[in-house]
Amino acid sequence: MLNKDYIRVLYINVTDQTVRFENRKDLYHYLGGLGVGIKLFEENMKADLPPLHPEQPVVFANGALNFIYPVITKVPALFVSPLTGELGESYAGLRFGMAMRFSGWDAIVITGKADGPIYLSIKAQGVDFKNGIGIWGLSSEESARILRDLEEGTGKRSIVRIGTAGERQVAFANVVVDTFRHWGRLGLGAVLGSKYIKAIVVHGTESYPIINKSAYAKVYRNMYHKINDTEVMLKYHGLGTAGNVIPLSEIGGLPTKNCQSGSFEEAENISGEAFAEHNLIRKIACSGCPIGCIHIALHRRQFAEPYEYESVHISYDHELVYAFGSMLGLGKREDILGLIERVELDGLDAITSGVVLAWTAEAYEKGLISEKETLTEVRFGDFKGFNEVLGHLCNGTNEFYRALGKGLPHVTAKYGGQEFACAIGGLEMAGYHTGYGNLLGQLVGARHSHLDNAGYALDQQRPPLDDEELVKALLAEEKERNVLNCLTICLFSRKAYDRNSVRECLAAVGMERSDEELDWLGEEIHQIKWRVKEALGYKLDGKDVPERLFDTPSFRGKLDRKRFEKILALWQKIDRENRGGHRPVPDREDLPSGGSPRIDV
Amino acid sequence: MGEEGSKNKIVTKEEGPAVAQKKEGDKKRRPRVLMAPGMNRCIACYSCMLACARMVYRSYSIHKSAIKILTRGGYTSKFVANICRACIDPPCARACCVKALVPREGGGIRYHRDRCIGCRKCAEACVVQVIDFDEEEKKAIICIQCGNCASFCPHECLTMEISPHAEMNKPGGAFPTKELESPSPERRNPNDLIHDGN
Repeated sequence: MLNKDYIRVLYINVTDQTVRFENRKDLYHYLGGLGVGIKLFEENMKADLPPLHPEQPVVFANGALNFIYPVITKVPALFVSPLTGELGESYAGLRFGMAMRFSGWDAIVITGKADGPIYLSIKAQGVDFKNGIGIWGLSSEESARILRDLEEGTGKRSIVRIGTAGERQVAFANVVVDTFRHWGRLGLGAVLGSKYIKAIVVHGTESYPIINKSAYAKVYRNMYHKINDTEVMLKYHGLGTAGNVIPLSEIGGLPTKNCQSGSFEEAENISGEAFAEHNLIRKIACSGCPIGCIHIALHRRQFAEPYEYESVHISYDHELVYAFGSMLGLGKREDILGLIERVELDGLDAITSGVVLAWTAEAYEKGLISEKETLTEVRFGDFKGFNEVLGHLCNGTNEFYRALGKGLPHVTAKYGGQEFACAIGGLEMAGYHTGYGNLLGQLVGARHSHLDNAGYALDQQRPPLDDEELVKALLAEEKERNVLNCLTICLFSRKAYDRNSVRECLAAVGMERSDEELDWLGEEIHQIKWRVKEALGYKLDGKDVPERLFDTPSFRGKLDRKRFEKILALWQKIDRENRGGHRPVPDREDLPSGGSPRIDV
Repeated sequence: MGEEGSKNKIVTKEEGPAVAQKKEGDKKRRPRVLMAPGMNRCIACYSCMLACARMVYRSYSIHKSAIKILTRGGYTSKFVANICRACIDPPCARACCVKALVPREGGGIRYHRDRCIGCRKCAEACVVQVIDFDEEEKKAIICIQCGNCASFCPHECLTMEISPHAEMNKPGGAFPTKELESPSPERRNPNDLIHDGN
């Protein structure tokens, strides 16, 4: 990828513990990251087999510009989601991108299932399949501590691992990356757990010379100053995303108590400002990002008298404060930090966990389930109950908890309460209730994430967008983000990496791309994603948005299901029209658009 | 606290460690050396290592950086900077038998990379063990006190200061500099002597 005209792909089969590699020239046009990842995923996925089948692949694909420019730090993982049964796509930062960049592998495809617990040690020279029996069953924190001692290369390696939730294949188990970051959503932890892979250590020991130093240094400096010294990323320098809590609550867009309301009376206690003043002790950054948006709180608690305290460092941001705060009616920062600590150690996705807990509390309140199922009292505002539920959820204590561990669509099919199950398109919703843009954005987004197309931000546009403008903006934004996800910029720096900057950055390191080529890439990825989703059985359906989100007024007022379905139909129509009109790229006849890949080994 | 306020907090030095400042009366051209007084503020962004690798060693990789940011046991621990301490009468320069390293006025060394034969004696001699080795080019990776790393540090953890030991370095001081060289005439060759920051 870097200084080369091909993508170096490492294939790992954990069943028979073999590896092979391919230098794929045909993938070079997909730049890297999401583009390369989705192509490899489409080639290797097995549409007819269940998500946790050993033959299903996990693909990691490094971004074209990862670690080369500031704030380009993410690595996408692609897999079949055990939570939704369709496309699983998740991004993580910290040190994994850097380590992978210098491991010499642009993409890694893992298939198979080991006989028993293992961990992988991936180096430029190959892969060691190491016995993982001693770290299986340990928390995400303890297993990493041991691996830090076992594996060499401090500062240049990345250690990713699952917690016990992943081992037990809870459908929304995550993978912890180094510390504080995760492939959080859609259950990659369960997929690795099903393959008996407890951890992956990537060693970044290789190096690449700079070909054109003056051009590269100049563009780097410009981007560094744009990001550090201008307004474009001010928000992330300061309070971080938790700064959204109060503004969202004020406009009625903060889902509260299982989204029974859009504003939380205790928002001030759990705001970014309150965390910053009382709990924030430091910020840290993903490798290669000068912002440092990972806000770390000190969670101090007394465990005995007299004055016996313990303390832990917990990272927080808006989504976690929403999921474990407003959504559960918890107005104490200590309670939120306690729940975050729990999911961090067990390796559960925080957003899905919070939304699932919120549904449980309401179902309990309404009598759909009782203490017979939950084994404890679960009420909004009661930390103790929620904490116990998380424990049972991770353990799969009884039939109810095993169903709950498969996500809301599954548990509601058995126990009812679909109308207040806050999942959109099968995935538990993110912390915004802003209007049609948010609902539609999460439903039509390829991974049902608010980050697919930023519908929540479009809802806040002034003057408001009409339906057609909204649909077109959602589509355009999603395709542009497809391009940015090939470079793997952190989407927080979206405003800094506009098209001109992207082209300049690519050109300075010898990866020139025209606007037409980038347009083509965004469109092509969109089409592959939908091809993959449909092959895996996904059908877009307006009913995959619960009644609750229409009953509770949003920032844009009360939403009407009929109008929503009309906008959805419009989205489908415009999308279909565009898909037919796939723009070819001038002067580049070698761009593949499907079919069998050319492989140069 | 407003967002603007928190941004300002980063760049002011009212609180936190005493980050040494350029003092009035300091001569502009006095040689400075790299120091790391603000490491409690470090966020481990690696911008300093990237700057060193990019600007001095022409590499995308942090392995080719003379400054090393490390944790002391994972991300919950403290970040530390392993940097050249800019010795007066540096042992590395003494150990260098080809005069690739020569003492620099104000502390540290000047590095004539073209002369380096890759013997690694400098790395062995370094008291604080911060000289790295470029296995591809078979040459030392060593700090030249250019200050690029400090200029890319977003939190001013790193600064360029006049060494407190610089006085000893003057003629008549405890460790008078034995040899001070003018810049190499072949300096324009990118693989040759790399500029000395100031």
